[in-house]
Amino acid sequence: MKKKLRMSTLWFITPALLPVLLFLVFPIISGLFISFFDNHGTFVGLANYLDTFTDKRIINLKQFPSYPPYGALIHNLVWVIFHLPLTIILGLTFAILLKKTRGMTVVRTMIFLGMVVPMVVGGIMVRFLFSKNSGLIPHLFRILGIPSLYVNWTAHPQTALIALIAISVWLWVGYAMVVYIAGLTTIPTVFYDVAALEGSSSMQTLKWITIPMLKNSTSVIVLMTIIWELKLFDLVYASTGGGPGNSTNVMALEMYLTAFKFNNPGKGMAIAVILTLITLIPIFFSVRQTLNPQSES
Amino acid sequence: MKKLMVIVMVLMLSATMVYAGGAKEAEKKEGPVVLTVMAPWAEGEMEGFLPVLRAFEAQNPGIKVEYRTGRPEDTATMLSNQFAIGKTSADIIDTPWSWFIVQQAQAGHIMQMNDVISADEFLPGALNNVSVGDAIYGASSVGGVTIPEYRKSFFTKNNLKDPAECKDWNEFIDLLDAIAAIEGVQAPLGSGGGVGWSFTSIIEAFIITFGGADMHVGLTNGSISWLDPKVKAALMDNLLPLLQQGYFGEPDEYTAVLEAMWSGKHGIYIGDSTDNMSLSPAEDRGVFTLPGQDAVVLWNDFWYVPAYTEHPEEAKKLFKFLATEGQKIQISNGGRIGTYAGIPLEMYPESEREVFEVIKDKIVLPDMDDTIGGKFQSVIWDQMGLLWSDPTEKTLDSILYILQEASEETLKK
Repeated sequence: MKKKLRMSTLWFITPALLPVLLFLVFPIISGLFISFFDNHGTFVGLANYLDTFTDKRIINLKQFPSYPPYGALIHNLVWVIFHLPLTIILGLTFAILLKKTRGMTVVRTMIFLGMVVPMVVGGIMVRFLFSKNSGLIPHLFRILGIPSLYVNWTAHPQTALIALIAISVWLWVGYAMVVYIAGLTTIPTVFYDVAALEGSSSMQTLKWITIPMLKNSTSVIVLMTIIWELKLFDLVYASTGGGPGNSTNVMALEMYLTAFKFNNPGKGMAIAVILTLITLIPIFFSVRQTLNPQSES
Repeated sequence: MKKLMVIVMVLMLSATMVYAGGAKEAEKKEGPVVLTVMAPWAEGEMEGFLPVLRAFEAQNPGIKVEYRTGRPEDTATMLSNQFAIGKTSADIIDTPWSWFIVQQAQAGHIMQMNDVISADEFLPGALNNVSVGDAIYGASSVGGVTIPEYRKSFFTKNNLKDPAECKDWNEFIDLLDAIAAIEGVQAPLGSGGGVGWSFTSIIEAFIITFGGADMHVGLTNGSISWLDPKVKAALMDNLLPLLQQGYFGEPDEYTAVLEAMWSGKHGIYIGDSTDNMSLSPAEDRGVFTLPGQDAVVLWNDFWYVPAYTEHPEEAKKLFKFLATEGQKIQISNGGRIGTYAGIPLEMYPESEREVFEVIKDKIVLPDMDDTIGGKFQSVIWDQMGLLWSDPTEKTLDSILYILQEASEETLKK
């Protein structure tokens, strides 16, 4: 009986499983396989991986702590370090402010608009928004009397990565805001009523009620944001192409450049495997939390 | 009853699909052959090219030609993947990247054209970069010259000396100083950035001017190292001081810089002879070569036919037309220099004839990054912007080192 049930289950999942095997599992295995070969089809073991980790385009700590390039992998980490907290803080702030205030649908929509803007469009927007001739941001700094920032931001390694991170915050903060708004609706109002009766200040309420009660929402945002930051490609490709001087390059873009532009598919695949393994770390925690939510609380 | 209805519906649906498929097949057999041409031109440039296609259609009533815009930096990856599985999304493709044609031809993805065109029909050496041994895989198309340009009326209005009259570099610097002193000028020289290739145009112009044509040729074929002290000197002694002293403006999209030059924010822009298509009136655009510059970079596009076209004979016909008679039509619309030998000078618009006048005694060189291609092309586009941001010897050294590495790696392949 048990065996029959398993067979029928298998039949039911086959239509869904076949495309997954064909278009997901097979390319992954194939990519992994290619990463052990050089351009001439000779088996080179881990040489492509070693080459990746010693490549200055991937890790270039010599420049640190001066301005970029630090290498594609470090740029991804810089993105996580700055983009993640900004997304969480701004997402939560907007969620709290816009949930309480009436008639804020338009503002909420404007913030969420970043989520629906295609990344390529976002990339092109960076070029215009931060352009010395036509951009709002450099002109703002000119008015503020900071001439060193009245430049074409994407043309200088000192400012290009900052410009991209800034625009990516707008592109992604809508997601955090929506998740937090959904999370806020699940907090029973009685907690706030009791806090008000006890004379709790707004900051105390935020610290002791809102933030702890939004822990699950925060976990989801953190994990999704890290995954988003690690697989960034189109925003950088469309705005700076990784330049100037490799100062905005990221792993996904370097994978593409190496495999297709530099004609080195083996190393390109090695970069892809490394990127996948790094991305699996937050995914592991995400899956573990989903399967065993009690352990987290 | 339900089962019967389902069977009837399935049968009806199948019959409709079979009929539709058959009708489409019949239409395919009876209707005109449709060829797709892919080229990087959009807007003004495309408008200048479409009459070529209409002229071909008029001569060949059985063939329709559709145009699709595709820049090589966007389509090269897509096309090489398509070729690898025996497909192509266009029957005839234009690219300035001769290395790409050679690379794909060697892999058997591009049709040989020895029975369609011959080298005698084009300017000497025009097919060298798209030939492998005696086999011709592409036809040179129209192109342009990397050249410094300025607005004549701006110079006249401000009593500036004609830049072509500068006898030496010092006189040229004096002219730049005079431009810088004019109200409204942001910097005497514009810097086209954005996509990086405009920086390489400037670099190539300085290498030719201060290192000579031989240095340019040597760097292109790898016989001269980027770490050669003479290469460094060509850039450090002449380009770096201009950058350090603010003669070059803030890098921006090349279209924006060209517009800025036209509106008097810059005096001179080291751009391309084809820029006259974006400038009005085109005759107000003047061109010159830098003092001491004995050669110019002439880049041109190439046509090729993928081996996977469904209409090889018609594609060959269009290929021949585009490379020869089509060039005449295209250049008469302005903005391009033809490589087909049968184009009389009178067919060129005035602004183009001026370019010929300026370059007539100069050595003509192929575009360095378009010829080498691969990693070198991406790296030089990416690295040169750093000089504008931090014009120091340290930065130059680091760039030259990276360029040498990329050149060795690319040329080795």
